Amino acid sequence: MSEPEEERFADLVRRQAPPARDPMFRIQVLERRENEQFRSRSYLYLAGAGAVLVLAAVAIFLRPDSLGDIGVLIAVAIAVAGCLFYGPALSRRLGDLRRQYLKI
Amino acid sequence: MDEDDAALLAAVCEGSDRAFNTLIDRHQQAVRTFLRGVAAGPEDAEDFAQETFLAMWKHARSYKGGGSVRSWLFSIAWRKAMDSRRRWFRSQRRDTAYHEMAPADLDRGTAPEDFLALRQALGALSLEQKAAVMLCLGCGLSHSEAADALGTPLGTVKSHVLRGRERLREAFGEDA
Repeated sequence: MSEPEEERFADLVRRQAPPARDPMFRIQVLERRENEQFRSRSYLYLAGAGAVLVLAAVAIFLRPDSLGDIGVLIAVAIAVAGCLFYGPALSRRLGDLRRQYLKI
Repeated sequence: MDEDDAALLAAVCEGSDRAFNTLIDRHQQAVRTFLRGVAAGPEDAEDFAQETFLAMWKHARSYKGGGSVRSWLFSIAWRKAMDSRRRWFRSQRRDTAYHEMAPADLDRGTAPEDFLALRQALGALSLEQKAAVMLCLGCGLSHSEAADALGTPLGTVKSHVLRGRERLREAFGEDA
């Protein structure tokens, strides 16, 4: 059996509680999520652009004259792009596997 | 029929917006109520509540399924509140928290004195005690659920609630 002060406290907390249905709150959360996703996408594209610039500078510096050198540069470009776009998903999957097998 | 919270969270892991929205609608009231009790002011509470659901979206995979999803959300909310602990101890903000409350936060049928008494009763408690009291007496969680959410031993939660009860008795006792 709860004490009267507990009931009064619970009553006051209930009266202060936000509404059970509050679409505005959900919209605010979704807006913040969109902003964060936009920011992280922007960083990703920025990093991609930086990588392309670095590769271009390296290509200019090395002056690849053989098909092999050009192939190496293209392979590096593909590897960088792969890391940028699939890296997060890959690390999530590895985390899942780690949790699953190590039972963390 | 309502979908299970854990199933919804699994759907969130797969990127389901519908599941995310459902979980927000289902738990926003409890999480915000808890945070209103432990945060320095209503603005902080709203901010932490939004961050809690963002963290749910980002870290849904870290839910291990040991306790309820609601307890897990409370534990995230609690960590958010703890992170701002320094701000909580800015006594000026704490003392004026009542005055900062928007009129919409006050129920029309309740005397402002009651809210002040509630604030004073909570204000006399440490942050950990306040969280335990809010979860157990305000949000209706069991002691063990509160212990899970706060990441503290069951005995500690029980003693926090006991101490909270004493404070509430002191705050409400005279005029009850």
